[in-house]
Amino acid sequence: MAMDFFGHQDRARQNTRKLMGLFVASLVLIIVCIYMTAAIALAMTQGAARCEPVPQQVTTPASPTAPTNLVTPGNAVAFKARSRSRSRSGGSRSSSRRNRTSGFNSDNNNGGSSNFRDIDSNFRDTNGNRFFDNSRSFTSRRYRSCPTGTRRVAKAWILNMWDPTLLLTVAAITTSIVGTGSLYKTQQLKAGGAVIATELGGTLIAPEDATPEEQELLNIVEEMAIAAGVPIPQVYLLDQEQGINAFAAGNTPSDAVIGVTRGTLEQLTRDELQGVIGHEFSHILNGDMRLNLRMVGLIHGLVLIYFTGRIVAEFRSRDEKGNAMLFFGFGLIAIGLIGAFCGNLIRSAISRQREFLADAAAVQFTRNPEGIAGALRKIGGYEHGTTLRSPHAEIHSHMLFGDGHTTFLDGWLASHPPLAERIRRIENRADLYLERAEAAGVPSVRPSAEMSPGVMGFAAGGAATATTPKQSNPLTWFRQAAPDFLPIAQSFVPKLTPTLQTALTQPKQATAVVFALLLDSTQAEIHTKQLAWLRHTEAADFVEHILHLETDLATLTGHLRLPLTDLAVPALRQLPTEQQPAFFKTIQALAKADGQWSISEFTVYTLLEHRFSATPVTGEQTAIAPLWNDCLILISALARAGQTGKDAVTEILQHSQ
Amino acid sequence: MASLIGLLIFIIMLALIVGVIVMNAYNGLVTLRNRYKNAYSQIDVQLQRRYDLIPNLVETAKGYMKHERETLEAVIAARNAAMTANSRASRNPGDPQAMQQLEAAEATLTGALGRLMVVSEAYPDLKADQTMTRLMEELTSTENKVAFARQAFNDSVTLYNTKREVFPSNLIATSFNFTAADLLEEAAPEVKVAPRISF
Repeated sequence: MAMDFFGHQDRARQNTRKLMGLFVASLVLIIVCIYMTAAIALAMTQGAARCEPVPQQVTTPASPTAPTNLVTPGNAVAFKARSRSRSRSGGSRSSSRRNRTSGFNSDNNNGGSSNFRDIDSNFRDTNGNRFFDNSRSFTSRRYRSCPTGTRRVAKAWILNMWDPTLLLTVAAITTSIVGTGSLYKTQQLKAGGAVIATELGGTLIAPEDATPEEQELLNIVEEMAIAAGVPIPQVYLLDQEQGINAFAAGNTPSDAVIGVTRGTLEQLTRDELQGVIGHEFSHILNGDMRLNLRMVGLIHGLVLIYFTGRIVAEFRSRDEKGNAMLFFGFGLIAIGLIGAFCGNLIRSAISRQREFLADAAAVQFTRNPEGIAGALRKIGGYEHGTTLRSPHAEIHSHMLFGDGHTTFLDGWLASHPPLAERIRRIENRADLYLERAEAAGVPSVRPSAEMSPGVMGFAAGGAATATTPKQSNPLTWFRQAAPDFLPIAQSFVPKLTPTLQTALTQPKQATAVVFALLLDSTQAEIHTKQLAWLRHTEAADFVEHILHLETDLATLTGHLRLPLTDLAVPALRQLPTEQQPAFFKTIQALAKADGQWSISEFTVYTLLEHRFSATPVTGEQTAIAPLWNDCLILISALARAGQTGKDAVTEILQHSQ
Repeated sequence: MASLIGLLIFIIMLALIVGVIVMNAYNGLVTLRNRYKNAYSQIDVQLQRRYDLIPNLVETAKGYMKHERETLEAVIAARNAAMTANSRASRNPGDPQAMQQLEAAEATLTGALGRLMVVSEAYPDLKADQTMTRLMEELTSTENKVAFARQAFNDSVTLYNTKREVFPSNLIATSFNFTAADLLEEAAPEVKVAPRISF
């Protein structure tokens, strides 16, 4: 079933849009957070001004035309005034500072309420009348006391909740900081594709003196350019790199380049290379490098918020406003860090969507899912993986949190989806193929570092640090080394005689093949023994048939025995359940005719037993303990195969047990 | 008064949004239309390239395949026929009969090339020849390019037609007269099972 590549692309694009929306929303949220922090910080500096003991004289709402010496709750007056107009608020603050310095008294350092009250009264005396006009609506409010600082701040904050001027100021400042930061970073990283490719150790392939291999690559690039409908990019070869990887770099389709490692050129077939190049063309066509660059720039802008916070916190004034500044600074630090982290999460998620998009596009361009799927498989099974060794890969890698990825973050911050998942989507054959891909050794190769933001690699392109294989588990390696035998076995079928070929398709006949395999043709004595047993249990013409098959088998070389057994399994599985014990009993009898198990007998028997077992051993084996007995058998078999002396083997086994 | 200003702002915003939507839809349609037109020109370019390559290939093969004159001549004849058909087809691209003739000529050419490849299997020297290897790769690539160009054309026509038919760009498409584009016909069966050319 073919992959619905248009559908996959649409889905990836939709997901990208959603994530972009999330990104924008988080930017807005950051502005709101900063605004709130600023509001709280301001409230802290001015908290005193709106907190005071019970007014000596309570007045009812006075007419605005009578701005006499009414003593109104100064908190509301002062605060409202500040929020209404920046200039006045500045004035009030400066006046309060003036008061602070002049009217300094004993316990000022902890911002004691008495001190504040002192300021406040001063403040009110000087400004109260002036502000009275604005404070009509607040005159009825009264504040009895401010027992704790928190409560004071909270009250002020609630009052200060909505302050459009402050919001606009915060929004403008934040936008300009983030904008400057992202512009700086973007300019810094915005090298043309050619520059990046050269820095990664690539050399331009000139069509005139290209080797046949390189010429093939150039041709494939041209083919894909036609399929994708974009201008033909320049092609760089990373000659020193043995890993299978490729990248597209550059900001616009016209200055984009494609880089391919030597390993890719050597390991992949033409079709697979075509898939890989098609994948890169999707990055060029869909402007993924530019998208990535912009997001990296914005995230850098968020980091700048963090730095601003540090500056604010470090250079806070030594007076009581310092607390507010400290609070504001820490607020900025937290917002910057959390924002950058979330930004990176979203960016990685978008990046993974773009990879799915590119995989689907590669299938669209080549119309050959096998090509790109084969390339991904090869990466999984290939010792060098996707590694780039160039020291510049490190420079070009965008370090997120150093090397200390936890497994939890690893998946969330990976720029590329796991290989198995990519293969599964390409091949569109659900779980069956996921399992196959894993069995064929497709680990999820993940980078510890990412490529430069201007570069879209084919697979996660880590720096050299990514070489450390993640499979510390020997069993994983073991599974990789043991591929599915059936396809191999099937390639032998044409070599078999017609009798054998038909015998392999019927259950009863298939048992005959297995029996024939077990007959010992070298020692006549044992042979007759085996035949005697067969005659005892089976019909005479069936035994004749077995003998006939045996002569056919004699033409086959020894190493075909196991594949042949595997080929017989599908037919053997159709044996009625009640006949199966008898079948295995006969096998045992035939094998034991000479008094011992030979290796070939043992393997045939074990293989069949394994294939027939109700719960096939699949899935992840994480510990060696459950497999201990099997391992012992394997080791002893290997030991036996290596030497003839029976005693030595027995001794070893006794030791190990 | 205030409500009037509010209404005015609302109307202006609405007009802006509608304007942006219209602009996007229009620009999208134009982009897609140009893409498929370009894709069409690519097919012709690649066919031409294939015709140019074949004489070189035959020249190189001649040196080794003295006894296969007929096969070589058949290739050249098929190539010439295809070239004529192509020039006729590109003069009037809309003519289905001319296109059909081109298809048939291309099929014959592919068949002739396939025979040449089969015959060349018997000449190890020829297979080892560097020029020959290079030409073969070129030919494979060019054939791929023809296929990809057709496919890219069909893909971009599909995208364009989809864009043309979905809301809201269908409104723009009808009012600005974006006509539906036709897919290229499926290649003739002989062409589809083109023999795999490889050494």
